[in-house]
Amino acid sequence: MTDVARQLAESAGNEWSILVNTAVLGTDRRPLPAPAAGWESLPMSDDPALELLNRAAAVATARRAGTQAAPPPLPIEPAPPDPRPVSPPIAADLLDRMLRGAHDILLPEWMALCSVAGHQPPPHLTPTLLLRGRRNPAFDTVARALIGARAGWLADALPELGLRAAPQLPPPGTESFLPPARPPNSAAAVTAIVEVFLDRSATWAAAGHLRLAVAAVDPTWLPALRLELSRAPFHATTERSRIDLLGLAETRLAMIISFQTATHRSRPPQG
Amino acid sequence: MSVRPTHDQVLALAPDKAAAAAALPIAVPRAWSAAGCDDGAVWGQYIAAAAEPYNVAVDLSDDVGGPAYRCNCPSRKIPCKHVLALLLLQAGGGVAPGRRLSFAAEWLQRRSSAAREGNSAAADHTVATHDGGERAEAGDKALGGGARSPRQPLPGLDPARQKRQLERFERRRVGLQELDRWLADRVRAGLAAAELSDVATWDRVAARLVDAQCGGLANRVKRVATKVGQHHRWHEDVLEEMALLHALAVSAQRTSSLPGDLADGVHAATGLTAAKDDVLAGVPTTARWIVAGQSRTREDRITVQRTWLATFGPGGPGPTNGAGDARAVTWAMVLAFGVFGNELVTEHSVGTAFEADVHWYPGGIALRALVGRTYSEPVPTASGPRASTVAEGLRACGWSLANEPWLERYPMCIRATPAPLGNGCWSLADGTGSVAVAAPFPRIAEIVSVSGGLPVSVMGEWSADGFLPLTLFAGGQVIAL
Repeated sequence: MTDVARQLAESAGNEWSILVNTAVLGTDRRPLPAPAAGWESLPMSDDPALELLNRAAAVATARRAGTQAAPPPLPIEPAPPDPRPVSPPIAADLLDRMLRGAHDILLPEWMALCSVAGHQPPPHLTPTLLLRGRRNPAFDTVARALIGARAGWLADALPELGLRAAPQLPPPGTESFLPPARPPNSAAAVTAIVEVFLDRSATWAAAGHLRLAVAAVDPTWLPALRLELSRAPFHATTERSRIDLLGLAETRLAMIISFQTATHRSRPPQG
Repeated sequence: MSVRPTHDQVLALAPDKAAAAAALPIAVPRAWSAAGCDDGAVWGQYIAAAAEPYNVAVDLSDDVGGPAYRCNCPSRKIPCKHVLALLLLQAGGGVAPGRRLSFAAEWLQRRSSAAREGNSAAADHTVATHDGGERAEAGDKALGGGARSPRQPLPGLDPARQKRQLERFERRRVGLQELDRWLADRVRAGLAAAELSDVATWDRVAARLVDAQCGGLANRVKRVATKVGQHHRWHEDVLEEMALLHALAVSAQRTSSLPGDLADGVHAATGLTAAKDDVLAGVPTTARWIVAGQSRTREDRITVQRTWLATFGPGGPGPTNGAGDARAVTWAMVLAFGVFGNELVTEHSVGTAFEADVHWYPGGIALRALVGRTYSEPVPTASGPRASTVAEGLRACGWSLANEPWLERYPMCIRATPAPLGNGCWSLADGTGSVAVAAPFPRIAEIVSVSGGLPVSVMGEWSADGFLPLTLFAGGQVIAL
């Protein structure tokens, strides 16, 4: 800031405090002091209240238009470097939706796929993952393992989030945050899922078990399952479950493909 | 006049420079359908960006009086940009002889039969009256439905309409005076008076302004009400807003003595916005626009959505930034409104870019705009607008505020590092200084995490409350906050 600008800012600041102090008490109770040189209103008004408003409009405009950058505060320490690639955008988008509650049964599989692919979770979702872990120690353990050293850094940088610096140990006997176990025969599982739609027992009450089954089947059976679900006959009592399971199967397939594609791309060409 | 007019002759017919400039980009064959001509006339259908095509015809057969025009666009200019564009297209040899389209044949027939009766002026009059009937049914916006000739003066204002306009003007004048008197009374009694902390006080003033058809000021008054008691220095914020309201109330009563752009800015701020069609008739800025950010606010039962478009280099009419720098970013703000609770349709999604004409609303600075003709489909783009330093961004804001002191927000795209200010407040800083993030901003954790403590490109809105981040451009990804 030049000296002239500094002087001008100072004089505008002084003039402003005079106007504010007078306005708070009211011009009926406190006479309006004469303006400092350069801050006279044109034209002057006989009414002190209008004169105050005239002068305040000019000073406020000068102050707003003359807003300067404040001195930079102390910066935060840079995060420890993470050489891993960031998970692909489609996978990041799916994680975002899962964290908002859409098909979150797939969250353990997302974490497992990300870990196997050697990716780091999308940085913009890292705080959400850590905040979710505050109420779920099993999730916290997996999430922090995936996030790496950045978790501790974020806890330090953002004390207002109330994050722990180290992972919270799950109480003994807590189930690990792992994807559901594969059924011994995925083909049979797919047939069973489709059949419940044919005999109309796939009501919303049964959707929980069915969701688990869709999240567990071998991924190679997902395209077939998706096809069968899209062909399943309409019935008012099963339609809601059908749409839900179809969405789940499609999300799971998109998630697996996005990680596979990213891994394939990052691998150096053979031969 | 059976000889087709030349390019220069056509431009000489334009009622103003804006109409001529707006006609040039649309004088291309792809903008027209079924354009044709014969010895006495030229016609065509202009493919408008929305709705039905405009039927445009020009009667060139009158050697003495000059051409007569017909276009059913809503523009009040005579001839409108479509007529000029059609004539320019013909001047360039872009219109082939053909059979008259039915609307053109019918109109020309009516004109010639009236002229045969020996009264050429009556011909125009008859047609104008006929189409005027349609106009009355369709309301003001269909004014362009009639036949128009430069020889014939615009029909005088309907006395009833004139009376309504005068009444409206008087209502506004009284409303503005009342507002100013109320502001002065508050300053006389003191801002510490208890009545200011009562929302009903402000609501009453806002309601009076709505009655006086100063909707823009009414919304502003309601926003000031929310600042009362917000923090320990709220008197400063409220005095600042009251002073700006006073400036607006005074200038709105004296717009005729203000420079044109400033008067337009005052009109817009008080709630007299330019008609969409008049804006679209203005000179556009054709460029590749990046959809850089989107913000929403609620005003009463209306959701207001601001979409910020950005392009490189100076673009808008008149001043756009203080630096006059060719590398500077030109910003355009597109507004959309929706009834609160209903889903607001997002026309432009953040992180895409498209080629389009952007037409500017008149005002002290070129900021609010409408997207006119688009030349390409939106494609995803990971690169945001050119990021400036914090000092540069604030300078551009300040410069715009000096031109329109009542401006409430201004866009900025800065490359900066988040830095804590304490008490859960944050700022964005670089070597040139820092700008405070408007508190509370719950998504600061995302910015901190993405930045990793290093500089990151953030697009957002500057306002008196601080900087409101809207979009992050980092690592080839666009993250809408």
